[in-house]
Amino acid sequence: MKHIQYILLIYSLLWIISACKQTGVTPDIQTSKSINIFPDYTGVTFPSNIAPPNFLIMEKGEEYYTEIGNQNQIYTRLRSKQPSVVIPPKKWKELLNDTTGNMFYIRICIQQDNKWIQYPDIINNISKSPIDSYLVYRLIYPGYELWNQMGIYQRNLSTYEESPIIENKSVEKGCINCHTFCKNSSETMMIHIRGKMGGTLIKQQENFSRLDIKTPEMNNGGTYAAWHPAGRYLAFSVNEIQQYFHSTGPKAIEVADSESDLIILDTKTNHLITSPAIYGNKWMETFPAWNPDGTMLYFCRSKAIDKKTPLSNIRYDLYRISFNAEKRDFGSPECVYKASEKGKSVSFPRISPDGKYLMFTCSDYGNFSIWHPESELYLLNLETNEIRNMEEVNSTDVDSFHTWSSTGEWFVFSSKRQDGLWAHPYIAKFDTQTGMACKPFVLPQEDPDFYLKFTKTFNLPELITAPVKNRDQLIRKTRNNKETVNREVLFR
Amino acid sequence: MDSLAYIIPYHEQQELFLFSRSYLESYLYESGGFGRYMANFITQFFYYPYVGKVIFTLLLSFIYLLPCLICQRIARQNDPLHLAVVIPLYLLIQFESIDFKFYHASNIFCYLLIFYCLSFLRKRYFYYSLIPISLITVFYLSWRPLLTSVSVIIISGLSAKYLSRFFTGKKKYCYCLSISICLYIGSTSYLFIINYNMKERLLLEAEGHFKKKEWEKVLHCADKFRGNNQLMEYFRNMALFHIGRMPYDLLKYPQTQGVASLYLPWTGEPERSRYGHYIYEQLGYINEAHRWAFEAMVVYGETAPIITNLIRYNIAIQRYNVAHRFINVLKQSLFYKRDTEIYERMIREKQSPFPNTLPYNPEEKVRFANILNIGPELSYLCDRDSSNQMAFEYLMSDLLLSNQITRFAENLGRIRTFPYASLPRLYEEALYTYKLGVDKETYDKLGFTISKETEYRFRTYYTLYRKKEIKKLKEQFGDTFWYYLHFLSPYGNKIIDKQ
Repeated sequence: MKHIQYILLIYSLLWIISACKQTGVTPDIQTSKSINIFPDYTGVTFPSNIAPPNFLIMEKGEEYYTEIGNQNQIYTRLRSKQPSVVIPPKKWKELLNDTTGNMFYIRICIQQDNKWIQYPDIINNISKSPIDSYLVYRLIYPGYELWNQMGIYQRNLSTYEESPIIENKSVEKGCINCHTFCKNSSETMMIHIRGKMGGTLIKQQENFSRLDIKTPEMNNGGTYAAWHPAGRYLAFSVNEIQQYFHSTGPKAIEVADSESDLIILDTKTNHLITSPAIYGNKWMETFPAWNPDGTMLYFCRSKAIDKKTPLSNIRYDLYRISFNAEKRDFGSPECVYKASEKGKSVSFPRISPDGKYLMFTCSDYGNFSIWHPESELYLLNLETNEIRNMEEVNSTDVDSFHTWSSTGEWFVFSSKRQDGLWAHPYIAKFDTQTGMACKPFVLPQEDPDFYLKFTKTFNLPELITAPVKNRDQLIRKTRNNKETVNREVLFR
Repeated sequence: MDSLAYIIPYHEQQELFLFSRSYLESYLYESGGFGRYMANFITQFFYYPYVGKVIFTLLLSFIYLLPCLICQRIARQNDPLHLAVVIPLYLLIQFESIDFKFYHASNIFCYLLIFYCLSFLRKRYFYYSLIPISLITVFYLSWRPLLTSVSVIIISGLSAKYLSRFFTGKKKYCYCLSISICLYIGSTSYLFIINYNMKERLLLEAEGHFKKKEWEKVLHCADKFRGNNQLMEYFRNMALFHIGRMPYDLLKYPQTQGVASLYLPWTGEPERSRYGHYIYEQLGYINEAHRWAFEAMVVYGETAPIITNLIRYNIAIQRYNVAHRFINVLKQSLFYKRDTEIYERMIREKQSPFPNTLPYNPEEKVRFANILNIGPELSYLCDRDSSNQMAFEYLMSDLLLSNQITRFAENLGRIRTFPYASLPRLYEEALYTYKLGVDKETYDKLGFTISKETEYRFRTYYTLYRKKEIKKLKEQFGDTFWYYLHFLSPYGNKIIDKQ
């Protein structure tokens, strides 16, 4: 009797184990209609260290079967009554390891009216090159003037782990904005904070400082920043930013500068450096960006405006000015791309780490392209001076703020292609030889529904090679006024 | 309990409990987060006010009952003074303030429930388990309610152990009980009354009636309200419009803020952000209503009213993808889920929740809203849609309240679109004032006539004014434009001419 019990127990266990192990389905019908999945992970190239791209099957059915594999092996079979596909991380990692530099497929069958319909395979690539392991962004409701909860977070791209670098609850609910890193390194970074504990927080290895990037003779404080590749200088635009709200129509807001100039902070001496060539009433300069050897500062420039200037007449051209770090001296500004002549406006110039390409956002007017549905990414080949619309990554809605990975083989940008309001980080592979990008994909999330429900916007995505450490020290530095370094900044 | 009835829906509207993992996770990793999560779970049932009242009553009753039961199990005796009743009575008084968070009570209840369950253990195990359980739960429910719960148990226990021997007889016990009850009731009633915030109640009730379009009740709340309050004036004026009395009775009520009694100018104050949208929504000026609702979401998070507003506004301005995202949020709730079907149908059928929505004309020159002053916006609305009666009456009221008689007269011609039986009283009074200041030719161009009665009334007013009989003036003409201009307008007693 006792033996029978054991046999029954073993049989039951075997039955449970076999039930857990998914088996394939035999399709009754094969359709040529391509399947719709959300997010769109079809025909994309993934880095070799990305987290599983979970998704939803956007077709109706009684049951769903998903098989993921490469030409040699099937890595996972998922059968469910639900249309959500959550890929087991372990299986995904095996697939990534075995498929580097090759293609893999996602095979989906849907049972409709008791018949299994097989859709054409989704073919994706896994690149040989990994992406920088962390993505930093600010999460915020896409509001206008008020704020409450917000924070800057770092997301491990190999997992779904997201941790705060700084949240505004640590700084008396101040507004935390523009963060930027030097050459994708978490060791050299800056964050702006507004409010009671306001200031510009600068981290250079183990040193922390908090500065007020403004002198009494300046109208505005430091806003958009870019680290000099040597990590000593930090270029800032100083902007007077205005918001305007549309009375009717789907476009909600316009954001424009009424004045802006460029300055450079020497973090060693806490001195501000500038030149009449980039600081004055005649022009508005903004969005500084350094070339990889730090000899040239690129920026956007428009004619200064008055109160009567229609916003739609403000257009920025791409300029650059030479900078001698030794002498701390500037050359003369030269126009690189006169977008205004073509009825376009440039924002966010970003140069690839090899110095060959400059990616920028192009919109019809203004510089706050994140609120311009027509804004698109453009690429300037700095060797040939060719400029092209990056149609392979652009969408019908906002495609804006972009940053390169440390290798230049990947870039991340903000796109509002899903609904026109919330910006999400899209990642794309970039071929440094041909200057062509692959189809972008949205940052994978554990919950396949995530992008259908999440109501915060991903602001200023930047890739970094290692996570930001000493986060407590960063917050302590912000909180401790006594440790605040020299606030006196000189104007040269 | 009914004197706190307005609190129940208020708390429900402050949080939107979602049945989702991410919602749980957003609370779970914060100190005291689970307690807030539990409180939000409970407050979602306040959707039905009667259920809310029952839950609230039960909660307070259990906060009294559980320490008594624990005390009985541990000390094997009853507390003759019933000291445990102090906590629910204290909470009851605290709940008079809308700022008092429900989780304070629910966390105490959770601790007491845990201790009650532990009291079934043997005495020795009870004491052994007390500290580790407290340490484990303190992260989830925070330490204050733990301290309160432990204190009440200890005090009740000590009272039971040491005082019960003095009240052994039935007579003595009853005597002690009566004194204790009288003391508790007396002090609670006293504190309850002196802490009661009638203004807060009337404001919340007015808003509640406003949402239900119970205009007469809004006016009733405004009548009962003592003192001046911009928000109350704002609700009351909208109610006046809806019952068709704005051009007649506007000045029967105090307009202490001048034009700011009609709307909430944007000042960047977070507290205002959840009220400003009402006026724009009713005017059909949905972009501006949307802006306010969005700012409110940034400040107050995803609450049911804010999400609902954002859904409706985005449907109205045909941003269906955005509306869908908010619908997906609402779908995760228990009671608002059913509303999402209505919104989804609206999207499918391309219906607008606001038939008077100002339409978008892509050919129109780009125009930006004036967020600081509603005046130009009202003119714009009237220009775009001459049948928008609310925009017209608000424009007229705006010009009257800001002493801008010339502009008032210039805009009065718009009235011909609307079926007024005759020129409303306040308009006639203002027009007569204008007539007195311009030549006949200029006045005649307007094409309006002033009734004999109004002319006679003005003469009477002026006689009293010259005699400086202010009391009589107020009694007889306190609701007239003339009296407002002379004595009440925050912009002085002079007509402000066209800038």
